[in-house]
Amino acid sequence: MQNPNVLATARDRMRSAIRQYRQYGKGVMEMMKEKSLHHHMLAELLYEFAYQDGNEDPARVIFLYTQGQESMPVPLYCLTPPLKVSQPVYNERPLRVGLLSMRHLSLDHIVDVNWLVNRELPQDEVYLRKDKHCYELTQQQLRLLAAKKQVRRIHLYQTGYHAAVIGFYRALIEYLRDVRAGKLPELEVTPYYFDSNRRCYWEGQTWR
Amino acid sequence: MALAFTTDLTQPLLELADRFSCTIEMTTYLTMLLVGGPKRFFLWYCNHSWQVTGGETIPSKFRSSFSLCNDDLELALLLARVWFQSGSTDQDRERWARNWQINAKELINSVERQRDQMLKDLFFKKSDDEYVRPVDLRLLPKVRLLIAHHLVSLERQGAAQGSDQALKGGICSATGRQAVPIHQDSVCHGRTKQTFLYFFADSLTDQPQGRGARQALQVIDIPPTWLNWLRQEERDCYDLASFIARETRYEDRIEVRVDAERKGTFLDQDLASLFKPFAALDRQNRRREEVRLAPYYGPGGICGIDAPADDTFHYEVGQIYEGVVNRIFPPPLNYALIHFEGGLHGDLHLADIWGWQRMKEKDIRQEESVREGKTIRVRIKQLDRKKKHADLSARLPETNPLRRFRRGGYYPATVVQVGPKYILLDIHPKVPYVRPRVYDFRIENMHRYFKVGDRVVAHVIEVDPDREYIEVGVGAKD
Repeated sequence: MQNPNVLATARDRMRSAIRQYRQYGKGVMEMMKEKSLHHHMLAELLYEFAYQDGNEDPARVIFLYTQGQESMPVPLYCLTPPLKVSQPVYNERPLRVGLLSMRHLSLDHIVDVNWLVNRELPQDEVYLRKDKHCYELTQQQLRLLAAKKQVRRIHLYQTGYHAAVIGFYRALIEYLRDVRAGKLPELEVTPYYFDSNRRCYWEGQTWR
Repeated sequence: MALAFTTDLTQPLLELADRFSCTIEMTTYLTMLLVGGPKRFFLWYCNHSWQVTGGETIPSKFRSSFSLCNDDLELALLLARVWFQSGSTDQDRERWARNWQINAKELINSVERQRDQMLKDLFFKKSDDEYVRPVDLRLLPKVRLLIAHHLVSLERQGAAQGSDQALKGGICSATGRQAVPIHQDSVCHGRTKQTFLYFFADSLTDQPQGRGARQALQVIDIPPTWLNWLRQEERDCYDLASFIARETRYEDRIEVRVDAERKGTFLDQDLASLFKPFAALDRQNRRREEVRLAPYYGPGGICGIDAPADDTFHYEVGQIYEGVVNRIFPPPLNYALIHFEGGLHGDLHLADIWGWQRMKEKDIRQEESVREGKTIRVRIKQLDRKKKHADLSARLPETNPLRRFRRGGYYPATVVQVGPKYILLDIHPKVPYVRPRVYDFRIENMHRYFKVGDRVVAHVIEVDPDREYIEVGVGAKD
């Protein structure tokens, strides 16, 4: 599913965006250049760059949607690497969450609840407004879930829509940063990516 | 306790369904409700006492198939599901509906159209193909819980009064042995239920209101424990999600017990088989049968990840497994019946031990490895998962006799058959006879050079044990 060439190119573009950030204070990465960056690649790319790698200082990168619209800046290199574990940390049953409702109805019987509701997204063409909305909702819900509901494992069934993906992961990175600072309870999020060709899901890297 | 209230349930229920991923099911049910409930789609539906216009009575057995549905919600979703799968074209579906006296036009024009409109409002730039999928019966408990949750929250708010275009409904529960009468218009009529939710759907239809108007009561069966949990305190969507994750079970197959009478006009077995949830499909009348609805795995359907995995049946073609010899069938059958774990059974024929050419000279009873009760390692050649039956072979890679042969080597062989332009050689007891190349272009009649029983030296030109292929050559004797 994952085309290694597209991912390698995306990785290079991400590095150059980080260099730009360090040089000029603003790093921008295009998502739709040449071949579009699929939502699952975007999530995996964020995972690769969210955790600290050696002595890299934290950075912030803006993603470009179609028509040159900019996303919210996403913090990178800001999380200490998670512990390598082969088994889930918590044995409790995970909450199965669909990222956005009404995207792939074939996963209706898999998910318990949808994270975002399609109708609640701003219906205009401004992506910034949409990812901001997703970010705010995610931030609010993550705190509610972890603190009040004591949910510690989430399986996120991700079906696409870049604005939702960026909003969600930005909030997740910030949440995990607060976890490391001891402000919030721990949480484990495992994304599952929808493969439209094979009509199945494959497991992504677990964020913790 | 019985509570009656009037409020519009459609919009809040749709919002809940959107959040909890059961929109198709909820919209289907609500649209059926808008036209008066699922029973209105049966052409012979007439009045509460089941009298058809012509004075006939609906066959009791056919009617009783309804009562086997837990509630009206289940009837509605089953009907929609079966309707969806009754044919790939509208003509097929209509043919099916005609045979079952179902109002196909109403289903297409009212239910499907209204449902599409509802879904269109919920979707964002989506084509029809992307959202059309059959009703998933595994979501039934989720839909029940959501309806219950909404009614309980209304009950808590003191039964808010709504507009004229509204559904009336409430919650009824009985304590102890006291039975709750269920409306005769419901599929639950005649049964005692401890707790149920009810709606009067008629206020949303064009049916005349007032005396004699049909009261299409919809009953939804809800476990008392769920209701107690909902009533304890205000529940938000994550409480509900956790509850759904914990309490509702997603079964791969929904089993529906059906007790119904095959009507005289429904002789076409193929058509009848499409209406499984409501009719017994055997040639004999009054037969109780178990019907399984297989999940739909077509385009837009249930995705591969949740394909039902049968853990007990892990057998694959080409793999080697150990089985126990159950029975031996002597010549002329010459095969053994092998049993495996998980209910698989298979036939091991003598030809799959020695090769078909040696059948005449061998007897399976003389085989050391094949004795009743003995464990034997065999390879699965063919597998019928439905019947749990396999064709087996005892010719395993590690005992493949062709591994003894090397390309370019010379091996003794016996001539077993001589034709005018060919000979057959026996190079090994467990290798089928081979037809060699004869290294002499002058040969026109093999009988001049070879006789049956001659010992010759065969030269291996090519050998591939994995494909069970060997090619040999032999020089003509002077």
